[in-house]
Amino acid sequence: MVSQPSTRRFPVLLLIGASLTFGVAVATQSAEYAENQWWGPGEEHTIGDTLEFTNDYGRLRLINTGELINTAGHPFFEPLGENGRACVTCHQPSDAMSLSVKTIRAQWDATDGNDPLFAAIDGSNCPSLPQGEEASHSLLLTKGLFRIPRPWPPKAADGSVIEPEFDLEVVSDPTGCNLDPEYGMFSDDPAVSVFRRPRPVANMKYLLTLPNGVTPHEYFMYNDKSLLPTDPETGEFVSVQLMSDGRLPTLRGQAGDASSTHLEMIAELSEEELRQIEEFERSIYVAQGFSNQAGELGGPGTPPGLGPEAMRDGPPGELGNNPVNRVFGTFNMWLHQRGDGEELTSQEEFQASVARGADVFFDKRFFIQDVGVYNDKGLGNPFKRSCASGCHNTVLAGMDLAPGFMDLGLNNWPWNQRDDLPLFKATCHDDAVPQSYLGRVIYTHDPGRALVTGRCSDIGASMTQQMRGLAARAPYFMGGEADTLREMVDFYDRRFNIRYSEQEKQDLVNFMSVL
Amino acid sequence: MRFGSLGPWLALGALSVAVPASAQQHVSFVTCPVAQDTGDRSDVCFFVRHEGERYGVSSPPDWGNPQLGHKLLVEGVVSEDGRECGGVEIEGRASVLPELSSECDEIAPATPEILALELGRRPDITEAQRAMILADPASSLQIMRLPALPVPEVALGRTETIYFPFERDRASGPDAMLMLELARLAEATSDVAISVRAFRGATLLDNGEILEEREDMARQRGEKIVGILEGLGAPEGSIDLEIVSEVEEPTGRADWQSRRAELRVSTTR
Repeated sequence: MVSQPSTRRFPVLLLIGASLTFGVAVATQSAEYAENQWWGPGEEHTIGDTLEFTNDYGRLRLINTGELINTAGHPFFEPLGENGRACVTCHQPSDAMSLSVKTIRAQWDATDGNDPLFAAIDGSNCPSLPQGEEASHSLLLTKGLFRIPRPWPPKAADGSVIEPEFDLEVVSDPTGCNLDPEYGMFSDDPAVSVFRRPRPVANMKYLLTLPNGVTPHEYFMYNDKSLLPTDPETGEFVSVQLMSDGRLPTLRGQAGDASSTHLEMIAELSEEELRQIEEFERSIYVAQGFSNQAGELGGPGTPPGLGPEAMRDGPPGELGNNPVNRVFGTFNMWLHQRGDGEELTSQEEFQASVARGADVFFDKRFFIQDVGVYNDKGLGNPFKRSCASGCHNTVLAGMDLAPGFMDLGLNNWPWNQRDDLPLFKATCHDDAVPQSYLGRVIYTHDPGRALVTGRCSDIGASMTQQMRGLAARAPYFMGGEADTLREMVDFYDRRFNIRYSEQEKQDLVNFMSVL
Repeated sequence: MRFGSLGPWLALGALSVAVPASAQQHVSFVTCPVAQDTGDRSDVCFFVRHEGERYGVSSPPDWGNPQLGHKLLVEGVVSEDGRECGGVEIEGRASVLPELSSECDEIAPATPEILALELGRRPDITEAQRAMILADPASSLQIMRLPALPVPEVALGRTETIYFPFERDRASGPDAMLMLELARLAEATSDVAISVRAFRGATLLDNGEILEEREDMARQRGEKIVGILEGLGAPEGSIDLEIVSEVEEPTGRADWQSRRAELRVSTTR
C-alpha cells in the first residue's frame, strides 16, 4: 500500500514560466506573511502565464490565459469595501482560488485575529459576539466556514417575497446568530444564518457552460424539467453551477452580491470593475501541477486529464460518464509500468495507486440511495452507479453536469449530525410535495437550495462541486465536514455502505490528491 | 391524494380470490416496488409482486423510475409475452406516489438466474476503442455525447398531449422537447394563439378504490407549462390557460390518461 504524502509544507512561493520575470509576489510580502503564501488585499503581485504554490501533496499550478495582471489597482485584489477585504481574501491563489483552513489558521496566528478575513460580518460566528476571541470565530478557524445570512422568508431576485412551503424553527443555535435580536430570524431584518465554504474561483468555463448532451435539452433542468434561469442582463439561459445554492448564476451577479455582503461595500461595483473581475475569473485555471510522490502532473507520458493545462484546453459542459471518455481521462499508462517480477520505484508505485483510484472512482458501482433531489430525478431509488457515472460526471471538472442540486446527507439528519452548526426543524405544509426521502419533518443544519426556492423538496440540497485543486483547499464539502481527503472517502463509504477496502480508500485519496 | 369509492358494486371485485391477471387484462393497483440488483456492472431494474405474480414495471423514457421509500401506482395492460426485470411486463405507466412509505425497502439480490438474463447491461469499451486510447491517451477525453432526443414534429392547429405521473408536474424529456418545438412554432407564427388545457386525474384501482389527485394539480401543471412556453419564446399574452379541475370518472382502463395537459398552437388569422 502506498502511504499518504507527508504533511510538511514548503514555505516557498514558486513563480515559473513567464511569471519568473515578475517576482513581485515574494518581494512584496512582509516577513511574517512569507511563511504562508498569503496574498493580502492591496498587495502588489504579478500574475503572468503560470504560478505555482506548494501544498502538502506537492504544488498547485495556476494558469492565466489572459493578459499579464498586476494586482495593484485590480478590483479583485483591492479592498473595496468597509472591512478591508478584497475578493482575494477568500479566494487565495495558493488555495486553488478557495481558502484552506490551514491558511485561515496561519493568518489568525500571523495577525492575532486582526486580519480583515476575520471581519465580524461573516468571518465570525455572529457579529454580535466579542470579536478578537478565537471562540467567536471557531467555525472559520476549524472548518473554514463563513456565515451566510439568507433572508427569511426567501426573496426572489427582484426582491419579492417567496412564500415558503415549510416553517422553520431553531432547535439549537450554538453560534447564537439565528436567535440574535439584531441578526436572527426574529430581527427587524429576519435572516437564517448558515455556514458554508468558499468555492474555487477558477476553471470557470466548466461551471458556466450550459450542459451539453444532458437530455432533454440544455435549456432544461434535468430534475423537474423546468427551465434553467436566464442571465438578467443578456436574457440567455445560464447554468446554475456557480454557487452552492444556485442563487446567483452569473459571475457579475455573484461579484456584485459578494461586494456588498462579504466586503461590506456601500457603493455598487462600477461597470469597469465588474468587467475586470469577470475577465480575471474567466482567465484562471487551477489544478495540482506537481505531486511529491507521482512527480510532474501533465505533459507527455502523464495522464491527459492532469494539470491546469488540461483544464484550459478541455471541452467544457461535456459528460464523461461512458467507458471511452472518462471524466478525467485515462490513467492506464501509470497502471502497469513494469513487467512481471520487476520492482516498481516508489514513484511508480504511487502512480499505480493513483491509476487504481481512478478506476475505483470510475468503475466501482454502489447503491446510491435516498439522495433527495437526485434519486427522485427519474433515475430511480436506488440507482446503482459509480462516483463518476453517478454524480461526478463533468469532463475534467468532476461535478454533476445535470446540473446537480442534491441532498447527499451532508446538511440533513440522520446522515450528518453536528454540534457546532445551528440545527433547524423544517415542517413542510400539507399541500407541499414532501422531501422525497425525509418526508415533511426534517432536521437540517442548512436548508440549502430551499432557502432560495422555498420548496420543501429542496431542503438540504446543494450543488455538487468541481474536484480540481483538492490538495490545496481542505476541508471539503459545503459545510467543511471532511478535514482530509480520507475523511471525504470515509463519508461516502459510510453513507452508501460501499465497503471500500483499505487499499481502495488509499487509492482514491491518492487519485484525488493529484487532481 | 384522496381515496374514494365507486360504491359497493365495484368493491365486490376485491372480494374475489387473488389470481394473476391474464394477458391483455387492464390492471391498476398500488404496491411497493422492489429493486432488483442485476450484478456488479449493471443498473438495477424494478418489479412488483401482485396477486402471486412478479411483474416488471416499465414506463416511457424519462417518465421516472420507481423509488424505494415510496409506493408505486401501476396502471397498464398485462403483456402477452413481454418480459421485464425477470417478470411479466405491464405496458402502461408506473407512478411514484409522493408520500413516504418506509416499508418499501426491498432490494432483491442478484441471483444466478437474474445474472443470466444480463439485465441493465451497458455497452463496455470495445477492443478497438481500447487500442485507440492506448495509442492516443488524449482520445480518452474526446467529446462523446448521448444521442440527442428526437425533435418532434409539430403543426399549427394540432393538439398535442402531455401525460404526467400521479401528482407530479414533471413532464418527461420527450415532452420537454415537444414544448421546445411548440414554442419555436409559436415564435415563428404571426397572430399566434396558444391553448393550454390542464387536467387533474383520478384512477380506479382494481380493489374498487379511487385515487384522486390533489385539487391544485391541474393549475400547477398548467402554470408550469405556460412558464416554460413563455421562457422558450412564446409571445407574451398569446397563451390561453384553461384549468380543468373537475376529474373525469375513472374506469380502471388507462386512467393515467386523465393526468394530462393539451397544448395547441394556432393562428387567429
